Amino acid sequence: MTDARPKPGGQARILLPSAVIVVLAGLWGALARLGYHVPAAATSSADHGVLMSLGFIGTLIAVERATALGRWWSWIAPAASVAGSVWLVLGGAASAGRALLVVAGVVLFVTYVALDRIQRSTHNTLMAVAALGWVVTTAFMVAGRDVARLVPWLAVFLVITITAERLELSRTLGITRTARKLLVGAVLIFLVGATISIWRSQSGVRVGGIGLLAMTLWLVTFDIARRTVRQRGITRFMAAGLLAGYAWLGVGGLLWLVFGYHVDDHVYDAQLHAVFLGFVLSMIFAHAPVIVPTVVRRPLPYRSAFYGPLALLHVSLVLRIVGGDAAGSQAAWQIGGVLNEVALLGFVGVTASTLFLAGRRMPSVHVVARRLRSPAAAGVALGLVVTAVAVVFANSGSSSNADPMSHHDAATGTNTVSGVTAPAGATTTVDISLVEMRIEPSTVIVTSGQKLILHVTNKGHMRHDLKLSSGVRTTLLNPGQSADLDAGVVTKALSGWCTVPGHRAAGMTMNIELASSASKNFTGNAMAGMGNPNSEPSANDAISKDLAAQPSSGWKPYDAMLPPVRGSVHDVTWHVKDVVTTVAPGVTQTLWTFDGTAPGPILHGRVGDTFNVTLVNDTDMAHNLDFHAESGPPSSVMVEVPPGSSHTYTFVADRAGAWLYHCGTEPMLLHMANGMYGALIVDPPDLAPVAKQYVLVGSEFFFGPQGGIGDYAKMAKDLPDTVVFNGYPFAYTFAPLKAEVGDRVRVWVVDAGPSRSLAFHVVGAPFDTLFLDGSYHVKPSDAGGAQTLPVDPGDGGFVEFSFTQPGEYPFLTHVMADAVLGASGTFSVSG
Amino acid sequence: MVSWWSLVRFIHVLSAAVWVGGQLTLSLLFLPLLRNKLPGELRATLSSSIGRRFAFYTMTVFLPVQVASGIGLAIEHHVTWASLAHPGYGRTLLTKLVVFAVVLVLSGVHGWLHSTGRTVQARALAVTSLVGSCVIILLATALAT
Repeated sequence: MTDARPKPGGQARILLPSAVIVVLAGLWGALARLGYHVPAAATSSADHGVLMSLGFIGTLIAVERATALGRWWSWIAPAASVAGSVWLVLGGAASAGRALLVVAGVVLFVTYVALDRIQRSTHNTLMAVAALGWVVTTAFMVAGRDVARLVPWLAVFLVITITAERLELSRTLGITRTARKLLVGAVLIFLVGATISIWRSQSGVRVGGIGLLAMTLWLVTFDIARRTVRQRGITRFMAAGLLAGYAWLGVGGLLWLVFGYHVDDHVYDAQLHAVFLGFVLSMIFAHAPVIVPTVVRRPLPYRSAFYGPLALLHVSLVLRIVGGDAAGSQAAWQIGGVLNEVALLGFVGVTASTLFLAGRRMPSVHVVARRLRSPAAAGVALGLVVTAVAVVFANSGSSSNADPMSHHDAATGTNTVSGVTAPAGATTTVDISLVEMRIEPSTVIVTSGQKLILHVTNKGHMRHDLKLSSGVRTTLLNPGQSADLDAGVVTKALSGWCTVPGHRAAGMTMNIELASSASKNFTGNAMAGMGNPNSEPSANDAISKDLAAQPSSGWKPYDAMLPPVRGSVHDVTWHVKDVVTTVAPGVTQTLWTFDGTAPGPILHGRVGDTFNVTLVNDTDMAHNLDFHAESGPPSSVMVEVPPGSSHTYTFVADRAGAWLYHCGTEPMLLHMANGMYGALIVDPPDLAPVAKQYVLVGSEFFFGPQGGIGDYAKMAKDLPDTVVFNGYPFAYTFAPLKAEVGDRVRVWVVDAGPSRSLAFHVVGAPFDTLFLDGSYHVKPSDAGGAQTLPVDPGDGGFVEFSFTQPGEYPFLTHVMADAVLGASGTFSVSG
Repeated sequence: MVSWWSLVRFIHVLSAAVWVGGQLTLSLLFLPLLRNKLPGELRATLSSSIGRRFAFYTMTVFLPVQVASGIGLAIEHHVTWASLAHPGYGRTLLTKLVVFAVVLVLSGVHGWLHSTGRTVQARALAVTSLVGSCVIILLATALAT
């Protein structure tokens, strides 16, 4: 590579700026992959890996080799590589761009063969093998294979090329034949791993990891860097870059060996970037002072400023991989990722400015240098670093700075679809919607052998894409954008997910199932129960074998006791939370709750009291709070609270009653049936004191899949699995409400529904007082009594009664079908 | 609509404007003039007494006003400790608070460096904290949108 032929670097001067365009596009795409909201990054995000490793680094290597060989045709390699990459960036047909990349790989291979014929050497042979890695990668891409499965072959190209260059540079230092053979052995292990990965990704990646570790060991043992790091100036800079790179290669090897094949998660991120940033980029930084002058035919004087980007690269990579991937901090991952980009761009900038300044008269360099060393410049630079870190952190985790008081689009769609059965036929197209944070329908059922096309539309307000386990994927779609995803002929069950980091874990997954196996081969996810009101209840829903079974030992009943009134201003803060709860024997569901329970907390006050209820939304979905006791236009009094925000609802209770409060965000049926309701008790004036006051909130549950949310289809068809008082079937049969003989008992009943009325009745205790619709229908002084308190959904009232003898007195809704489904309990009366 | 809370916000913004504006005016207009027009000894005395006066104002007026009005505004905005971690408003506010703390520390270190005669480093830190102050304003603007 130091063989400088007397030929002007004209081609290089055209190709290198183009490579810079490619790297900018690749980095732009990386921003989108890091979860930032950047415009027009669809293609460059999907092709980020190819653009960076082949379009940018591959082009650099090809330019350098073409310069070394000095034959006109060898320039086809970098030219085709740049052309193919730019074609991909501009959104041209992917197959054409990939085909150009294949051409580039083949020409690079032939270039190596030609170099090897001029001078037979192990390093030239190894580099030719490495170029085959480029050819294999791009050929499989043309055949439609997903890049994630080709990572080992991309690594064959880059890691072996670089390792062989180290061998080349060490040739004057008397590397023994044995050492040479050891390196060939290490490379062979890696090649075996890459070859296995064509058929078996899991074991291939693991064997590849062993190969990477073997190469690391060889490099650390035989490379001169270990000695030269003790020298000064450029030699030391290069050695530092090399040794840091070797450390990352070792880390990468371990990650490959230990975790095997991963895709689109944090392990994948770490596996990839330890090798491709930590090793490859560091090696490129280290070699730049040697390679760049031979390519551009200009001196590149060493400057200590080269250390800046190198140090930033490694520090930010530690932040990204240790803080982000391993410790799970999204902010660390994003900041680290952006700083990775800053490091690369910084290096390009330092190199370019050094080349530029080296061409000027020397004094001007010193003037600029002195300027750069002034305290004001240092202060501004430091200040800009503070600015960058602050802005990146402030913007992390969201696509915009949403004011907590502003109205967001509801995160839920109003027309959600769950299981869709694709009609039989040769080819079917199924509409798929991507919203935060789910994919609808979550299950598509096809007959085996059917050709399936998914018409994917991003109906959310963030960017999303859809990738199937077969490897096909859409580009990153902007809100409102659509794309057709050809799933091909489906012969086995597939899964799908959004590859935007974090979205898969947050629930953006789907399944494509075969008609025959759909019923038994279900892989549940939390959102699978989202249903279209018109669809049939899912066969995957959880079932309670015995609603009246003894609750498990950890179960605690909801406290039915009415809390006393404290003061006339009621300040409370509730957190809206998604809580996985046991809602019936053997059935857990993800309930959406006000402050962790369904029903939510009981509010108790008197007429004229002020209620300040602060809602803090800790979920990924918008919710709101509708107090039936409140008046005013819903849009201003029932303000929607976006995820991560809070709002305080303030109202004065003008009228007495047993009021319902609930979430009124659409689809309201789903939000209510999934747990978002509770009771607000406002005492009428002159309410007589009684011995015991209880609150019973009636409601229905519609079981979705185990651990998931309720089944919307059942809600829409009014097919509850259980009807309950205070959130659990037969709760007070197992934990009876207490009373003593002669006690006056007041029971407040609120019906949260969503759809069933109830007729509250206590067996063996007629009511002498009944308050409903804001007035007394029966009073103790009346001759008549009441037998049921009939409460419609969204309504409430109370009854009073007393027990004359000790014993067990069942209470229930006299809608007997619902009593059997769980809406009953017991008063245990002692003497 | 002008309410009592807008008065608190007004005080918060006005106080910040005086502080950041004061720093900018001193650093960009006044001190360069000082450097060009005054003889060395007088210049050093004057600039360090200006610095001390500004530090005194910061500690006795600016900081108490800013912290008190800031806490008030946070309460009015229903900011909780937990909400500071939330993406969006909370995280932007948290960043602003952290940068504010950093700027105060930097100003302190600047004063110490200056008093111990390390004027070059002191100047660098002065500029850093100046840029940092501008970041605070930027983040405050982001909060208001």
